[in-house]
Amino acid sequence: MIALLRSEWTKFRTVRGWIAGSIVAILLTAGVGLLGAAGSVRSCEGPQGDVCPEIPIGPGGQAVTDRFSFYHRALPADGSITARVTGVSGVITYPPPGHDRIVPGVVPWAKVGVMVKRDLTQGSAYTAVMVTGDHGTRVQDDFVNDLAAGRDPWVRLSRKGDVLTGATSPDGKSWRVVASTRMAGPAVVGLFAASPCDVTLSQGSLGGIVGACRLTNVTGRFENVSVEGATGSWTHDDIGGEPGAPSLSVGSARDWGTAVQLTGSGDVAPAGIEGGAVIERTLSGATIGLIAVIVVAVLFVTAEYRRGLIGSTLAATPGRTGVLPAKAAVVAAVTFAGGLVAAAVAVPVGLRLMRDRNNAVAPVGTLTEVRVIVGTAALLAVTAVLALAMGAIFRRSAAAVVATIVLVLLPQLLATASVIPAAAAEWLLRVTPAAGFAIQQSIPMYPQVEDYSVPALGYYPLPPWGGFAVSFLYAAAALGAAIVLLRRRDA
Amino acid sequence: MTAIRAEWTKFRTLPGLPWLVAALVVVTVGVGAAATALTPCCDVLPSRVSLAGVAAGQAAAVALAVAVVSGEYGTGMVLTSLLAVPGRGRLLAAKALLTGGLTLAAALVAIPVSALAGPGATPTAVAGSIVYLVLVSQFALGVAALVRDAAVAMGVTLGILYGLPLVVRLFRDPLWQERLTWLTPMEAGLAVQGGLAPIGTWAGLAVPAVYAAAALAAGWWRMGRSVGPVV
Repeated sequence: MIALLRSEWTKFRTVRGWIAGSIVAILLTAGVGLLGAAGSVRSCEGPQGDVCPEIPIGPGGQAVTDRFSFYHRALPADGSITARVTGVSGVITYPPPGHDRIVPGVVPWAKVGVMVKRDLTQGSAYTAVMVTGDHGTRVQDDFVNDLAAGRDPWVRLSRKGDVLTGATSPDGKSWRVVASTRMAGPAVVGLFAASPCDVTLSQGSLGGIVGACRLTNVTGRFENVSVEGATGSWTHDDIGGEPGAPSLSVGSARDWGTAVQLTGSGDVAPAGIEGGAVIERTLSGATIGLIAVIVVAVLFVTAEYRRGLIGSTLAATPGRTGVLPAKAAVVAAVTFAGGLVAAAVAVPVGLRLMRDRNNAVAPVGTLTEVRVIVGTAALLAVTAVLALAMGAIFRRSAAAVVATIVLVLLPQLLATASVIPAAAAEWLLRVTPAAGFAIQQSIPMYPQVEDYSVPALGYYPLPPWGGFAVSFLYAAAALGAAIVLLRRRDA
Repeated sequence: MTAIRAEWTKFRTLPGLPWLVAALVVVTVGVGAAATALTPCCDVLPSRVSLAGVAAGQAAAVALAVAVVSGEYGTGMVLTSLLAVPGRGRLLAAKALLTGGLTLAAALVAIPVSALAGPGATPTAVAGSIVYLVLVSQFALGVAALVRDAAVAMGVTLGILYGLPLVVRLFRDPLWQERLTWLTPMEAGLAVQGGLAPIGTWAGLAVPAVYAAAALAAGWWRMGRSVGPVV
């Protein structure tokens, strides 16, 4: 096997065109993304002048949305808040089909309930028990965690020591504990209301998906409000409210003692793709670099057939089985190394370029960043193996290149830039080798956010490694078929 | 004329080439029909839906053009061809005419059938899509004559056709999207199907036309140079 690998490596490294092709792949992968990064300039004009608003960062390090109506008191130590949500109503502006009226209505993820929050700054830690528009009663904390908790109208949050306990009840007497979290030190306790914008996706007239996000608000009616351990008086704040915001988005509170009516807009949730530029934008060149990779990998096999070298190769390896694995190993290793260099340059340099041009970059963990970089290189390597196998199956370079490009790139193109509706596009990205691009998605999709979760806007239907596994299986199956065919067919 | 007849004989007798013409029709109509079945009525321009197959079918047109040119370099047949037709421009012209004619014939079947099978298409979209397919085949032919190798020609052509729009999609800045769309022959060319705002209906076809002209010129230049070692 070592000898086989060595001979294949020698073949690869001594053909000038293949080395050149590999270098072209690296340059395209890194260069196109950097060009894009250099070309994305963001400018903001607002009441504060030319300053782009900061995107708040949650306790978990994600970009978050933290804008809601909060009617609150101080909570220095132990204490609790209990309330019964007796009514949720709201307003949706300009919904389809006419987009011409303001109608009463509550969006599915409108939230009203009780909250304990570290302080009034955006992005600070919190735990909340809430009644939602269409998803029942839930306990959420720190923006990303979300637990369903039946449909009970009574909600309670209590703190003892540094343990916060969220509970629900159908009648205010028998309480069911849903979740407990930790928060020590002084905090703020109160009632909150938030209503995210109403998302509608429509087909763009030239295909592709156009998203629209329309302002909504929600009004929650609370009765039997009781608070223990709180100090100071009730205060209303629009967390994250901006001066000059439309009047429907401005929150308000009316207080009758144990009954409170609270109106608010906004959301308390992860920001998704609204949280700034995603890091995979710097790797947009991979789709172009991929084509150079495919051409080189196909030629690595078909050139042997064209020049008759395959006869010598098979004479030197009478068993034949090892030939293609050795070729695959060489081409995968070369591609992976090249892709790694390209991605490892493109991501940090591209991010620097984007930040210099005033773009907010959605923060991700180091592990995610490494996964995106290494995953892109691995995706290029897996596609190279697929192309190599195609070359061995077709034995004609043109057919193999078309087949691989149509398998890998066309679904991606149809899914993101054509008239095909979102549901069909998602299936294309589940069952074709294009699924592997999911490895580049750095911002996960959260179920508690009604977001533009369509491929056209950068969300893949499969999880990163799941999508990669699909591409991997395609490559493995094609390589297996190619090995069998090589043994059976007359060369 | 004899040069064209020779090309026609080669096309007719080589295994696989007539199938590519059939594939152009089948893929274009098939993908168009699939898009029609999947897309709910009236959300999108009907021309775009009916003719969605053009994006996939053009791969067959590219494959045909590349095979007509690169196949000869791959087998050494090009030496014989050049002995018979010493004028290299004439040989390239014959190949271009044959490929263009075959693509035109296939498109004349595929596009109207797609339009009839789908929710309909405007006459402009039908005529423009036929012209687009012919331009794509000429572009691929020029690239193939320039780089000679089939795999590289395929990669370059399909990379420009499929890869560029994918990259453009990743630019969120509308200004850049518009600028770059003018560089992508597929997006600009298919603007003739309607819906792409900044590019006029027919003006967009100028983009693939420029690509085709540049590629043919470069291919003609390269054809005039040494054939070099073949096989």
